[in-house]
Amino acid sequence: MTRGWWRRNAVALGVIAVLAPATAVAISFTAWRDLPTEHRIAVETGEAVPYGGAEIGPISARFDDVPGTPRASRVVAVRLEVDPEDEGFTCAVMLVESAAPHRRWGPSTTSLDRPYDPDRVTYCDSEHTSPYTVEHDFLVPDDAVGPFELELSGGAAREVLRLAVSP
Amino acid sequence: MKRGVQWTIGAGLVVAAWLVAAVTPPEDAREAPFPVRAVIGETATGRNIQATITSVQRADRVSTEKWSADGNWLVVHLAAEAVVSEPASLSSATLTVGDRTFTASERPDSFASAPLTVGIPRSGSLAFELPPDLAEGEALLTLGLRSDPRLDSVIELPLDLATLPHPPAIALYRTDWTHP
Repeated sequence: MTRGWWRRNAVALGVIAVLAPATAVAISFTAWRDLPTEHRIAVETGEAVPYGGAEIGPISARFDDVPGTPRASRVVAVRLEVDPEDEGFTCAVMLVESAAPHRRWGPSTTSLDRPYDPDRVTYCDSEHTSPYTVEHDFLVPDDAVGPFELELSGGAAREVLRLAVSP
Repeated sequence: MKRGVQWTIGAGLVVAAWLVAAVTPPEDAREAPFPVRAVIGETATGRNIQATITSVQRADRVSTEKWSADGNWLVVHLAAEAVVSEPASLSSATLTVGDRTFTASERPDSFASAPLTVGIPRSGSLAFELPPDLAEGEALLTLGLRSDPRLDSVIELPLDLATLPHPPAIALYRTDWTHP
């Protein structure tokens, strides 16, 4: 290609030099904007925070012996104070190991043989409008020693509470 | 450029194009599952599934406490757990023989679709009901967490149907904790 060719096509080449990177940036920005993002709110032990129209916390936990627990495992029994502030509040919870590999356990309430207690609340009950305590059992292996975080979602889109807890 | 050089370059490009076409992965390769090869009696670990297959047998009759059925059965005894995250379950258990794929039977209570707990194994049995004439051939047992196995680990165990132990009847294990 001669110098004359570059000179004849200088305008077109200049346009390409601007549009090509601009297209790449626009496509990348659109893809990034559409990523499902999650806003995590960290809550220290003993603290309470407003979330989804309710007051959540403080939280406490202990290792517990519950009938039906297999060998080499134990139950992390979590107590969480919830003040719905006159409005129904629902949530989903997971227990997450604070350290890598951040193992995650769901509530094991139905797979354990803890004696039935009619006054025990084991889920975020939207029927409650006054303050109450939610009790969750998580079945974990013996090598899961904590600390943990209780991950609570459902209060608002893409907002997740992470309540620090050490049994 | 001399004519001979032109022909050489042209032929070289054709060969290069053929090589590229030959080594290009198939269309679905970018979404393929990640197979983890299992050995009977040894633990195989994938991203979020860990399984120990303790035996694979064929039988003419399988039974549970309240159920039994005659047929051409392949029975797998195993233990499995999740590795990092719940909820998880053994939602995919298939046996592929040639171009035919069989899913674990839902007729008996079995380990099929059993929930898996992170770090705490459960044990049980899977039963595959095969056509009466299927008695030999290479087979592949595949275990996974989802019915759509793409882009996740699956546990794979190659089998030779003709060499499997073949007792007349097998009792399926009740699904329970491995160490109750």
